[in-house]
Amino acid sequence: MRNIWRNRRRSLLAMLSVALASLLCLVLQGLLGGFQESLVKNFTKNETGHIRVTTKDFADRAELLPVDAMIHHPDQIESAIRTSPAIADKVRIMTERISFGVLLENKGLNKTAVALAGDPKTEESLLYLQRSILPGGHYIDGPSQTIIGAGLAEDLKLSVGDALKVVSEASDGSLQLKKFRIVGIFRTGVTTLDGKIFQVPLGDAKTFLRTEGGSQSIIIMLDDYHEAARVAALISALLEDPTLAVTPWTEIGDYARLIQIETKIFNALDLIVMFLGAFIITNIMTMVVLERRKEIGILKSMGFARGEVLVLFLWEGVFLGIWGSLIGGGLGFLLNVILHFRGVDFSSYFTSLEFPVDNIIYWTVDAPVAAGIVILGCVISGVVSIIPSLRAARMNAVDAIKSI
Amino acid sequence: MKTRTPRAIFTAALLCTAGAGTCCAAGLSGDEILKRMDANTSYRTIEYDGTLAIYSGDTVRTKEMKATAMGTSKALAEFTNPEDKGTKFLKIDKNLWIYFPSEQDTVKISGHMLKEGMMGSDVSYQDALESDDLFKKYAVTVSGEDTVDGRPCYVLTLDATVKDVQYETRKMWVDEERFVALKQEMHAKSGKLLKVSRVLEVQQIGDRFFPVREEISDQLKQGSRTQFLMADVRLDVPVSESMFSLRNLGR
Repeated sequence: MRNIWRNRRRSLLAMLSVALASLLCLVLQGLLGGFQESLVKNFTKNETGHIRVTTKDFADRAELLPVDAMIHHPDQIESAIRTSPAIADKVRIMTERISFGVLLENKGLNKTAVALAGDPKTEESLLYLQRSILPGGHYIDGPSQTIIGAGLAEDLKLSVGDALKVVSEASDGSLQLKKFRIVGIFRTGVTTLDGKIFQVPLGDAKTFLRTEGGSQSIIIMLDDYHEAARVAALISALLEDPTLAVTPWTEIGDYARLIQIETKIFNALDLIVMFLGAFIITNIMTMVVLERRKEIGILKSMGFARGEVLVLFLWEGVFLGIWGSLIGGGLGFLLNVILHFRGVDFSSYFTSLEFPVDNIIYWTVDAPVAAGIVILGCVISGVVSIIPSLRAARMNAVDAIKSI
Repeated sequence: MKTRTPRAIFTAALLCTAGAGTCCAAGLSGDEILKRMDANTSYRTIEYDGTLAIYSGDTVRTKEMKATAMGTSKALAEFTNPEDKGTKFLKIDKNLWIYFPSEQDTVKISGHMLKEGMMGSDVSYQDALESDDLFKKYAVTVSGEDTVDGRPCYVLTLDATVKDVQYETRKMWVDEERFVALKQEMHAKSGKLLKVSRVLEVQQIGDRFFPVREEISDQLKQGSRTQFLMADVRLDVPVSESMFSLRNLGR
């Protein structure tokens, strides 16, 4: 300890460098966590659920949102799931949903969009669009009503009370038009929702698309989304229907893979940042060893073994790393807590983003991650101290004393 | 060059020709070949019964229509198959409207939506709206001779001279004897092949040779192709101009 405070400024500089690296790593992890949580939340509630039951034909062409691959008796499937003791307890929400691509028109203006058709009551606990309706409008409370994204409304110059002309191909291949009355305009802050989506009642969509009661998918939300793969397997075994596809959200689209890749990239970045931050310890320890050659020579002549000298210097480096990591980790954790509650508005950057993420990202606060980064800082500080410590340990006692 | 008129909404683009050719081959310039094609496909009015067969993978959807066209700019098609009965397409110049009998209302198709396939087919709205504008948009050269289905053809290359085109280049195989474009390839600026059309059947009507069965396939849609069949073709019949109006759509 005395050695560390011999040159306070130098030691503080080393700690500061490690602290900044730890802080940066932790804040980046908080941002990544917030981004991924937003992505998973929006992706599952808006598109796939934690588990999606569809026909295999639909699953093969899901990106095209086909309306000619319907489940003919969705009520029977729902009933089977609800009465299965092994599954029912794990299901939080289960609902039919149809998503279909449409052409919207208003006074000669056209725009492509996606209609989300579901039971309005259930969707209140799933899409939550009723929370984002702008003043002057209300949520769907009857047939042939719709709520549309603010971006869509602006592009088509539509307001509450206007008729929304929707053109789509029906399940029999015919081209159909239906007019919905706009009762609300929503702004969620998610660009992909506000600019492309409108919600309609499921019954209207079934009639419009001529599905004869069929539904495109059954969306299931679980109490714990980590159980999606296991529960999907249970449902698949329960239904025993080779024409159906029961798919957990992790196997739909590229988002799950994207999350895995993001995590790996950020972990690698953390490692690099920590090494860069701790590298100053190598420089400082090298200087320390050179400055204390005489001292090392005396210690060795007094009988200190190589290992003892090595540990002495290694401990100095690790000590700098421990304090730096603890200070940085603590400040980073505090900053994450603040950003978790306040969030940061990225709307100007996310405007043209096609990912279903909220414009305001709220950092995640993860104590194990914070602890991990502190430990990483300590370990890396030890690693970067090895070379100068080895140099000290290998010094010849006589040469060391003579060199001064 | 004589005014060439589209025979109907769905085939307007498939029958397109181009002008301003300069290069010569086998004694005929690009211009002359196009003029001969033009003579085949020009008319004041046309009426026919059309059948649209849309193939997607293993499934095929058939749509039937009665179509009437006048001049380059006006065409009306009314669908008669049970699923789409009463749905009408009206083209006036570069504008396209669809009338839906269920809602008794009309929708105008505009902007980038024109690039979408009509009725789920491989023919885009923009394809349908193209007519003799091609003459103003492409430079044509005769790039050689080839055979299509055993018939000798001139091979024409059409290069866009303006930016506002759907296809940067087109390659056209024109029957040397009947002056019908038996095959056409449409390419993007990158050179990527976007669409291929082929004439499957040619009928002699009076002294003209008319392609009455054609197939177009969107190369970006896997396993997709659309066949268009024209039956009971009547040329230069009396047609009232008033039928090509928005007011008439709902009647």
